[in-house]
Amino acid sequence: MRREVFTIKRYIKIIPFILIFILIFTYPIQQEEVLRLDKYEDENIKKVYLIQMNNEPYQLLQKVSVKGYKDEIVMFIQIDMQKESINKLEIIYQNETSHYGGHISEEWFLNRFEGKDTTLTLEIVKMSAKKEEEVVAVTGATISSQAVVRGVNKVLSNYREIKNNIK
Amino acid sequence: MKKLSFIILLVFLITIMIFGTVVSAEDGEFVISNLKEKDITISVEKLKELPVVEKDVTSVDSSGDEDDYTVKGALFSDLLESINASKEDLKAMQLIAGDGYSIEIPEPVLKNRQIILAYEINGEPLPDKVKPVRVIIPEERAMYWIKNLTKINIIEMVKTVDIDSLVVLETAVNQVGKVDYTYYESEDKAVNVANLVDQIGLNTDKRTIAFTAADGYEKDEQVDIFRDGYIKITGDHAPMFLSPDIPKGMYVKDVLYVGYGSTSLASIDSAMKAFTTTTIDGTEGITLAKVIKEAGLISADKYKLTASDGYSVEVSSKDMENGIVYLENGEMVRCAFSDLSKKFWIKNLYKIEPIK
Repeated sequence: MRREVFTIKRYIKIIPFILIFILIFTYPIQQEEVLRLDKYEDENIKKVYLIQMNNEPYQLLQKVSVKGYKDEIVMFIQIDMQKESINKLEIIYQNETSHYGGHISEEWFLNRFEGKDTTLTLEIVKMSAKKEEEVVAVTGATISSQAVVRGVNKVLSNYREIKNNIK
Repeated sequence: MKKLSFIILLVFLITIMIFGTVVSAEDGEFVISNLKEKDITISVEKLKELPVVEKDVTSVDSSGDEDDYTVKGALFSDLLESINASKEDLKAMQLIAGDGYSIEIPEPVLKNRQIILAYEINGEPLPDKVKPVRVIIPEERAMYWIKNLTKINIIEMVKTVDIDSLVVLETAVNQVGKVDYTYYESEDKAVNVANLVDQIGLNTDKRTIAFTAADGYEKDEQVDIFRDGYIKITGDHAPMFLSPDIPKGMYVKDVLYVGYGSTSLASIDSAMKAFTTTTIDGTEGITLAKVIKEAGLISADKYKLTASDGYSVEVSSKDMENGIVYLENGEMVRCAFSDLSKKFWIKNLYKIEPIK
């Protein structure tokens, strides 16, 4: 009788390992594929990448360049095609004046774009955002902020066209 | 058709004759008005006879764009000296360009900054659109760096107005509606200045109001610009004067006093940053005497202290020396006295007035 109890205890100890083993070998393999959609590129939208997961559109990544106050502003914008919203906006080049338009690279400004619905046409406002499509400009840097919004709107418009065509 | 064209041309020419000659200076000259009995015409040749100033400067415009220049010209102070006048005698002046653009140079800028009347930039004579001179005020925003200067209008000395009441800003703002104001990453609250001054019942016949900030910065601003703006009452540098419609360089951080006609709006929060504190009954604050003195409130033997609910007390000037004003929990302005009973310890202090 004592011997039997001892045997069950031993099996209990290895159950988690068995479960992990089952999980690893039964988990569906995700196949990611990146496609360049160069026919949707133009003088502003420099690169368009469609990321597919198991042949399903998953994310659209676009590199866009717009004229800022002093120089070009180059951004990468990632759209979540499942949620139909902006997932991430990253400024990869800008040369705006440091204490003014230079703030467009700050996380707190970029966060104002994340989660914005792809059906929107964004607008810059100066004091506070009251509507979903409104984005508050960096204080004292309306022109640079406006340039970022212009770039994002180009990307959103391009996304809507791509979405219609790949349906 | 020809007749119509002729009439349009005639109207155009008349318009040019009427409005195109607002400033009467010839090319290569500008005029100084209201300094002497008659207008004084200054030529670039005259400026070139004055000591030459050459300086590397950086202009920052309203959008933050920066440009570096090497400028050559004469100092405005040297020009005044050459016509037996002094910058010290001036209160303010208005610069007017050929296209009608004008801007007022306030007293602090006039007194504390070097003003260069530049006739050469980067080793080159000025382009036609910029001639006869460009005003350069190093360390000030490009809005003052007027091109194509045609007139300097000296503004008459403004008589100092006696301050006969002090209104506590933190209490006053509670009586008006607040709006959201996003300042960089911060979601702050602000009040519209016009609403605030109308609620308090302030009036002025002056063209300007006077800011004093906690760090000692002083600036005059036009009443209309002030009324169209906002006072941000939360977040960094509050209370702060700002507006979405003016360049960032015109914002005033940590406003301590605003002289509006005969009333001084005073921020106790900024006073706590600007002045040495005193402790009464374990509470730290600024002496009432200091707050009213720095505001320029008329001296009196007694002062009336009024709360926002209308409750008021009279306090002698001696007790004002032994009383403090402080901000409780960052919101309520209260006062306390070492020698007076608690009935004098007003909550929500709103106004201080001398009893004549």
